[in-house]
Amino acid sequence: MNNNTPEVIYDKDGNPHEIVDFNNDYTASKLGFWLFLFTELMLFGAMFLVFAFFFYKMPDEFVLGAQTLNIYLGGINTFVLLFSTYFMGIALIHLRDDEIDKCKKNIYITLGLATLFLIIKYFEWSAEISHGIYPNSEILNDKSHGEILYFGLYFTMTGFHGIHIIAGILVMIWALMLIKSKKINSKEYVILENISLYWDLVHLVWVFLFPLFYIIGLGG
Amino acid sequence: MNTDLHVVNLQMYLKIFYVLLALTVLTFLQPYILSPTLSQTVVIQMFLAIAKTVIIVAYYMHLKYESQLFKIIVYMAVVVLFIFFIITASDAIFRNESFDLFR
Repeated sequence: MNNNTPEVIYDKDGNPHEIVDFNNDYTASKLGFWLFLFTELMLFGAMFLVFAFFFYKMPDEFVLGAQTLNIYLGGINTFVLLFSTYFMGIALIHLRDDEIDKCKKNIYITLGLATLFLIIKYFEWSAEISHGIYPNSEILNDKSHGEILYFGLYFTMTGFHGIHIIAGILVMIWALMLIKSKKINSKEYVILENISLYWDLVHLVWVFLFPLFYIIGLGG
Repeated sequence: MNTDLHVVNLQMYLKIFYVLLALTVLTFLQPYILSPTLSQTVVIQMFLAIAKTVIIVAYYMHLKYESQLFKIIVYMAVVVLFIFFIITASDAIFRNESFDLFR
């Protein structure tokens, strides 16, 4: 195909219009990413829906389950994610201002905090597993239906969230590589902006996970 | 290129960060300051979480500065999710028999 020939379409009155097409469509890139975020909303939304249903049906047993979790580890992780979204956001601002070194520094801080989140999560899960609480364990199966459901949802939802953190770490490393090869720069920053949107969504999921799984153990 | 994103700057990010930090501290302190019933705790916690969500989506995800198109599709996504919750809530609340799936 000859790329120099303009492509033409006709409107309903028969007037020709030249098609202007380009590959780096900023708005479309962001729109596409928002559509992806909506699929994430459906994924986590459905799991929260299941949680809400069973929490309503057996609140006492859910509270009993929540009281066995370590609220301090979960709490530290809440702040870790809050700080990491801040650093991710200002990384984007520094990139737009063409301050590449500051941008990279902030992405490294975000990466560090994301890794810290996973390390804390590792200790948290290890503690529960060492107490014999993991899906289909004998100790858990002897507990009430509500507690089995609570811990099933706990491992599923924090597990899915953890996978999203790992994916976030991978795309941040990818972004650093693209910055190094100058494919992300102060003019073409939509990839980093989308990664920042993704990281905010991962934070948002935790904003709801934390009160529902940890704080309910304190109330009532 | 999008220029309206330049409204987003470092000062604004720091301010929003402090607001979110305050709300997160409140999330922690709520069961200690007010020690209400479980349902009150859940309502207050969800209110705080939704407040944080609105702030994060508006400022950290820049939705406040996006075009009408972005705002409308986000509203629609939230409405669709809300419909699912309402339908399930009607099931959870009005189902007569006790939950016996595991018996």
